[in-house]
Amino acid sequence: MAFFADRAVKHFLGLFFCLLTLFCSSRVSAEWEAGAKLGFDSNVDRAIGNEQSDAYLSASLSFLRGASGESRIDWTMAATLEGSAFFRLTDLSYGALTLAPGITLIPHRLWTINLSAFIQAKGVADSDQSALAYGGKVSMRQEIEKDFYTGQYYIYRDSRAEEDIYSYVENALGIYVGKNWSRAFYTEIGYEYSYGESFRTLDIETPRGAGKGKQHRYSQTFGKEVIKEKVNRHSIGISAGIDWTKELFSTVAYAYTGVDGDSGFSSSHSGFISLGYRF
Amino acid sequence: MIAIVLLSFFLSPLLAGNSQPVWAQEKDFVLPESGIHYPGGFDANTIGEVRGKAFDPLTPASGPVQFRLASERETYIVLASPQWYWKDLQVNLSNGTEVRVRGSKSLGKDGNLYIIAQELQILPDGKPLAFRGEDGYPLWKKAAAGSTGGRGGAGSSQRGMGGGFGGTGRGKR
Repeated sequence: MAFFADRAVKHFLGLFFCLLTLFCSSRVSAEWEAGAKLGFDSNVDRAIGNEQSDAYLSASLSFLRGASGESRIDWTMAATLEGSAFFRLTDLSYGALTLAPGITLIPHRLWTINLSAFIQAKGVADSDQSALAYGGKVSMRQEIEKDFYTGQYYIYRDSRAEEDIYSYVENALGIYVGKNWSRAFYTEIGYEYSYGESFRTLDIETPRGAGKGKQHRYSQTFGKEVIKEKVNRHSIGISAGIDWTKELFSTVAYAYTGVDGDSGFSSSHSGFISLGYRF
Repeated sequence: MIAIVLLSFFLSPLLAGNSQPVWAQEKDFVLPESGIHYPGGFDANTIGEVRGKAFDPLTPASGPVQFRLASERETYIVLASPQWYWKDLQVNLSNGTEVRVRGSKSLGKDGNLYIIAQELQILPDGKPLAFRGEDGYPLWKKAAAGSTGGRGGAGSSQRGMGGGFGGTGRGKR
């Protein structure tokens, strides 16, 4: 893939594996997670009308170093290698490598703050969409009462794709509440708002608002005209997770997303079910 | 080159011999005097309750806050929680304070009796202060749970679910 031939990506991979070796040898409170996920999206092409739905199967391997809780300040690391195969629009299949180092602060036993940066290299079968993304996340979590918690986060993401029409800068704000029904089972409900650029697909050749200087090009993957514009995105999601054993766990999640821009409104239903293994 | 990198990534945990379950890998260390594993040395089979007077509270820079507990029959060394958690609970313990401690009892290699505290109450009418859950899970670790993100939540699959950065949508609990 041409994208991976890029020198910057090679350096990123080298750095990734050097850091991983270092973390593995330190034997800190870290764990590996391997997982498989079956997901769907009712509007995988971000279409304004005449959406295409698709399902995907993905596999991932993560190295996670969480805060130990032994001090108020600790560092964290999440490194994930994942690959997804889409069933119908196979050109959307991708492999991605994400590195997210961070710091956790615990100002109070009921209040946790995490600051993290991330960098992600993503190679997509439709190489126009392959991208190198970076950004940061600030998240907070509060325990309201025993086993009942709420959280807020802000994410900044700058994704630079091979074709600029798929590049975007996005700012997202999210809130959620969750309940640990037991040590093995939790549920969460959340809302996320984001503002930023997004590609969208249209059936018509001359998109509404094209006169405002929007980029547009034809995508063979979607079989449609693609434009890029600023959008407001609102998502409502619910999720539940269960630990089957100390090693084996599952998550199921659903989200409804509405996207509004100059070209119109689009929506999608998406979700996944996953099975993971810690070791 | 990519194939080699990917192969080494998938094989690295196997080559490293990380076949132990995660609870056995957590950052336990052995307390030098007692030989007790901390914080994972809690054994639900040895839970007991002791009332007595507290003496010599010790707040080390790392490791658990500890104090001596003199009951009518025995003297124990109580291992509580990290300093920061102890401070958050605002435990006001001075020499001779009457307390009730519930926790896992253990005999240290130094011959002393230890209690890994689950709950502490300043008598006669103090509020019970919890250090560990019913199953002995340290509550200070719970505060740090999910620090790597990753739980499933709001957001579209178009951007990656919720605030997580990948994985299967589950943070460490």
